[in-house]
Amino acid sequence: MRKSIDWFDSHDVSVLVVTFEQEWRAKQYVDETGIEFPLCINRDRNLYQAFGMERGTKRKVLGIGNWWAYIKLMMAGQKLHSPTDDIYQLGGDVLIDPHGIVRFHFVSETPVDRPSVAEIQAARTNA
Amino acid sequence: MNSAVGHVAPDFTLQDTFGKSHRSSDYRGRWILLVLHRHLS
Repeated sequence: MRKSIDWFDSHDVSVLVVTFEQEWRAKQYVDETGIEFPLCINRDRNLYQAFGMERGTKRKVLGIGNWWAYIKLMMAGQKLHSPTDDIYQLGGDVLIDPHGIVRFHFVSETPVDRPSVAEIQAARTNA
Repeated sequence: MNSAVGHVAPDFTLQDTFGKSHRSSDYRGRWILLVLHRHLS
């Protein structure tokens, strides 16, 4: 996503990253990652619920695929922390047009289930 | 929710880590991509 920041800018797309975690953890994440998008806090998760992003099952969240994804992240040098909040809350991505209409809506089925940037770009381009 | 595509997005007001408020109304006239994270580990 960060590599596409210029593309989003040139296509008039503002990116907001949302977390439900506590403010101190969100600030720590910003400091550690240098994320260039605003990281907004949604503690009561009403936005998650509004877009149908629920809590995953144990099988989906703790499955072997997720463990392998974390191992790959660690091998790539990414620093991982012990979870400080709900590990079962799933996320997703939502693209909203200038009139407030949802044009792309992806609800993750598992922690490693995310759309590609190309899919999101296609939704913007084809609108 | 099967899909929200084609529906009006809910209004929101969120505060970022620098204390700045982000309202959905602030982004009218512009595309917005919401990336809703799971936990930040």
